[in-house]
Amino acid sequence: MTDSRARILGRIKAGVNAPNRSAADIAVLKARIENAERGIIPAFTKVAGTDVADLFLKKAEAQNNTVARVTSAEAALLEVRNFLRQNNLPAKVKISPSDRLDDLKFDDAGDLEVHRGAAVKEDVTSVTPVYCAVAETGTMVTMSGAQTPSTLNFVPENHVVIVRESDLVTAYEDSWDKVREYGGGKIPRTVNWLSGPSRSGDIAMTMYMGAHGPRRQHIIFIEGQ
Amino acid sequence: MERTARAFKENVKEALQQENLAGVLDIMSKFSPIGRNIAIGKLPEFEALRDDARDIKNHVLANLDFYLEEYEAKVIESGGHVHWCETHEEARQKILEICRSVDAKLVTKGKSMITEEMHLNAFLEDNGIIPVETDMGEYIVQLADEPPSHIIGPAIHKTKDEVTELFFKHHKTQRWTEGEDLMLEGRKILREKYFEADVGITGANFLIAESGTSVIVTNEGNGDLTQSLPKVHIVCASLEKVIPSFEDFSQFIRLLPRSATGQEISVYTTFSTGPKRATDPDGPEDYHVVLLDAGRSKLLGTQYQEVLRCIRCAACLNHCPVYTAVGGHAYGATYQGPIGAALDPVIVGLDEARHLPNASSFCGRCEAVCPVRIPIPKILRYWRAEAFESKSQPLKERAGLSLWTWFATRPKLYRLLAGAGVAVLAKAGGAKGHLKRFPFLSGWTNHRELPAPEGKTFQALYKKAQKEKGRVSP
Ligand code: SF4
Repeated sequence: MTDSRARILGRIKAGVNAPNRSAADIAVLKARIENAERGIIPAFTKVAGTDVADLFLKKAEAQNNTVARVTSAEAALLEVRNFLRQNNLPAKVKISPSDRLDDLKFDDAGDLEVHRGAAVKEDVTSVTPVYCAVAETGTMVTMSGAQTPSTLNFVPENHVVIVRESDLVTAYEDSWDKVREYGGGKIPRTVNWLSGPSRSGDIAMTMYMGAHGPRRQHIIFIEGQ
Repeated sequence: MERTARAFKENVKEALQQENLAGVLDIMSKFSPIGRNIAIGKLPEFEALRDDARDIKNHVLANLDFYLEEYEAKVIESGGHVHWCETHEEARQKILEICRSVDAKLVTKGKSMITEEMHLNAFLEDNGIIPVETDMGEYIVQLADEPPSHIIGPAIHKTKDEVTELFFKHHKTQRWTEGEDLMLEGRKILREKYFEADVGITGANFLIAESGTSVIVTNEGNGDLTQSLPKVHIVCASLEKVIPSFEDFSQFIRLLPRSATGQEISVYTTFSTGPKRATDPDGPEDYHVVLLDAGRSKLLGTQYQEVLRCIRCAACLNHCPVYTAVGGHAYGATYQGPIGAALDPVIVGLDEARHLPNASSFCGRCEAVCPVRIPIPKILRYWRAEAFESKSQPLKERAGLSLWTWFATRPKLYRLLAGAGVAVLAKAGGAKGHLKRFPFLSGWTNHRELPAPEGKTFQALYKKAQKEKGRVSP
């Protein structure tokens, strides 16, 4: 194996003329990574104030997410129930063991059966927070961690995502700044961008929803939080 | 029958006789460019992003050793392993070794063209391990025991009826005829596999040096289930996938889905860095990257280097008059269409793939739509010249007549290509095939921008050819 590594790198170095690279050149390359300089960011993402939420929700809906706007955590919990009822789903959810869902007060939810943890095959509906969300394409960013198992994003057929106005950023680059803040430069095992329910166009070039991941993705957007 | 690149002409002949294939390719060639055009029409920065993406890739290729070593160091730092493999055989053996180390019986696979290159499925089966493709299109072609016919739509050549029969034959449940039911059935079957699998294998659209991260871009979510449920995650990637940072990635992701499917963003974009952390409730315990060379490093510093910029969006296939006439299987190698013609000689050797660089009308559409501006026609000309010089062409081909005669005696194909460059083939043929001596060709291929969105001439001709079916022999 080490031999293969040496031979491959040897061929590359010969091909790109690496021996002529000076220490200064290498410093420039290292800086290129560290500075993480931004490239072109589309002008349409340069919005502010309530326009950010409007852009996010418009893009999210265009990608077949369903959206409910609420103004409080209590209303968000009510909306979880609404979603289950409207879609004829069991009153049972698997939620992220995350303190970011505490204010929804799932434990006082009475007849709603609530479980916490990683997803198992039988889970029908999950409820998760996001780490942040990008208005550019209505994309939700989640990260794996003790409080946020990533399987909740993919295994259940229905995924309810709680997005707060303060979670929003405008362009992808802003989300990376936030991701880097999180672990002091170390990133978690997985960062997942979720931009809608699962779909596939592989059968007769026709788009069908729910190929493997969630068939429904419902965003509960809490304004002003 | 296993198709080979060597048998390109026979493959084409066969393809042109398949009515179903003509139908699906017709639909694809109409809708795909429209989708792309709508998406890029909404993004005024698209052309500038293409320049940027080209420049990033050029910068990476010029410093590929540096970025790969940085990337490797970060993978190791995050608890993962990197296995450098020179050949397909070495990669297969490494994957087998990892599978054996956990006594794997069942392996789920996300979409990975690299594993197609190395014929991994057959190899695993021969070694008593069951591979299950989980991308719906890949699953369909796996059941049909066929290779993918399009780099992002592997089963694009299959009609719904064919999928009905395939599923019925293999699942032995019900003969579902609605697409929705077929999708549900596929979902149900594959869902079990994710939970049973011991190892999950995925490809990588990008590798990020900054953090040692692999990235997959999908719509189905199969890649995520494949990599988060089994004990071991193996990423198969080729060397040139590395890019410096997440900011660089952000440039590419604004180009890739728009170019590929006309989407502004793929449904799932997944960034994986190492195995599960100590406090993580889920995720694989081991994370391996099989880093494949298979001829790529030899391209650096040569006239072929630019082909390594490819991000496999398939826009060049979708816009190619040859691909949309003959389909992917005719190419007889892992990659199809213009990028296949430019890349397959590296993967399977020029002798084997020598017909493919000729499978071009030199209309220039591939270059006009390529998000990283790969000058594919130029690269095909280099291959043709090399094939000529290396004498890997038989005498007839070397005389420059064969290709032209062959196309010209096939009225259906001739008609398809008529508006798109048969004149060039004629000239090239008349000129004894030594293309290096014909500078006028560069005038033909230099950045021809096309009338969007439908490529009228070709479509019109195709319709005409369809109407004339019956009178036209293939
Ligand atoms: S060559 Fe260009 S257009 Fe073709 S698949 Fe690669 S990136 Fe896409």
